[in-house]
Amino acid sequence: MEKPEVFPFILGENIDLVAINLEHVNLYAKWINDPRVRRYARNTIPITVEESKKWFEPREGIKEFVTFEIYHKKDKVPIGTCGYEHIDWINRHANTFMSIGEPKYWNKNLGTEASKLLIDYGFGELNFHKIYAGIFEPNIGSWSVAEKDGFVLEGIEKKTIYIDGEYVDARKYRYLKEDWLKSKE
Amino acid sequence: MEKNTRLTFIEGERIELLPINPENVKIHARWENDPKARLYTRNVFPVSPEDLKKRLEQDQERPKRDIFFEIYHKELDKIVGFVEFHNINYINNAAYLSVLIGEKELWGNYLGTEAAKLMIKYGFEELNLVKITASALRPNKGACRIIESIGMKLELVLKNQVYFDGVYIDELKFCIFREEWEQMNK
Amino acid sequence: MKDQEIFTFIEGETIDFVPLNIENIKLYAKWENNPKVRIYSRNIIPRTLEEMKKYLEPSDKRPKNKVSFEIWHKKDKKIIGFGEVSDIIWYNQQAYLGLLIGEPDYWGQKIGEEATRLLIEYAFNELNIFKLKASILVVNKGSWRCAEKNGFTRVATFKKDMYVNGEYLDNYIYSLLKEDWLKLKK
Repeated sequence: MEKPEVFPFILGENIDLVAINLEHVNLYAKWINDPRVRRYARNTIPITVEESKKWFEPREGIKEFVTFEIYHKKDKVPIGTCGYEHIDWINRHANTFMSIGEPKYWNKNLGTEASKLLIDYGFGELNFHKIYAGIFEPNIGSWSVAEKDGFVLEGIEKKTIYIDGEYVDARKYRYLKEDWLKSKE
Repeated sequence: MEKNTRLTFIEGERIELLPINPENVKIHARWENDPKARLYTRNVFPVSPEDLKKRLEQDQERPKRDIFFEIYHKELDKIVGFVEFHNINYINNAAYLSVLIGEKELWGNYLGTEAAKLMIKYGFEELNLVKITASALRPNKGACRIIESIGMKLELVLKNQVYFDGVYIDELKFCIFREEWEQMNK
Repeated sequence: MKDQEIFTFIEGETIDFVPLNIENIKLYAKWENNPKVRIYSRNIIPRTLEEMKKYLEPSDKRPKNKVSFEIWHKKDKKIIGFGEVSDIIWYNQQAYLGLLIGEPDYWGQKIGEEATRLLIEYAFNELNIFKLKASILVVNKGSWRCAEKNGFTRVATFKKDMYVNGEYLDNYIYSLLKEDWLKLKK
């Protein structure tokens, strides 16, 4: 198959953040339904390719979310998605999400790289004041990386989500602009 | 309002909870715009009765994500505020509670507390919720007092979460679990 | 004009800001047609009836790039004008301020000043805007004097910028940064 055209928006070392490409919609649908991926992504209802397509269709009005594809430069393939949702332009905060859909790219620090690019974009370009993230307690891989990347634990929401037959806690993290500015000094 | 034409859904001591009546859209607009009432609800966009009518028309599919009630004061024979569950999640069995007493002269009479208690009972006993959350801005001592008096406990402090009067202030998140509530009511 | 029901959103001294009311579409048309007013209302009031109707269409809750108000005179109990925060660019935290006192009887009474002050406070303190701009025709001396009294600085003159009544008129651009406005308030 001929490699599709890629439009990098933010350049990294091993990965770039690129615009969502609707030709990859089958990949997105595969990732979002994959039991290994969706377990902690809070997706309990199967999502069809049509629904995925509709989600990414251009919409009117002020953007409430911004999504990127994480593109692996050397292997020339998309490996996941990340971005901001629930953007509140008055309070200038947003929830950040990240998902590496291809398991062979897990544990390679690519999440950390994407996270850093995303944070710089949020504070430096979108002018956010606060970025937050919610990660479920059993998803140790994810939250330990978040803490390493500079997210501060704001608190724990107990028994907040039903996963695999039980209620699980959610760890709420924050990243304030002042912390980002300090990290740049 | 006549007792037999009133659509009482939940009965309390001084108040009743009724489904939203679209004919009251002008009263709702008055409350939502009122500078004192909207101060802590962070409603920063003016809202006309037409806007509210349109929102009501966008009826949600069942099971609904948001459930609203008007608070009807029995002795004064008028509606005085509203109370709602929003972001109801039927898989996690959780929801957000919020209360607004729109008639300012009635503030300080614990009507908000009574409405909140009725809602919590409805949430746990009828909607099968397991966890109910509520939030208040730090300077809103009134709301914090109501929330604590109905048995909710502070769960999270979201730092610099909300832009209020020119500065970023903290938002406090409270919650109550069904087991705690059942213990309280034994 | 019969007493209309108003929903105060921002409370001032002589005036309040209230949401747009679809029943006032005739008022807007009257201002737009009044030769004394029309010259200044050019960049504020929508020109055609279709545009006006679109302004007044119910909006949904999500942020738009414009917030509009009617100006209510408290003592005389009537709508006398129109105010707005428009062309909002959220990630730059910038917007334009627009104001029109449509009833000439209310010109020259410091009402413009009060309305401007209330709009500035709303934009900086509630919408989290960082910089306000205003585009005012040079001939509209009342308006730009009002802006200057509230701390706006003239940053540009665009010659022959707007075609009004058969000729091209010059336009002043004013700007006000939140940090400068805070210094002024002290």
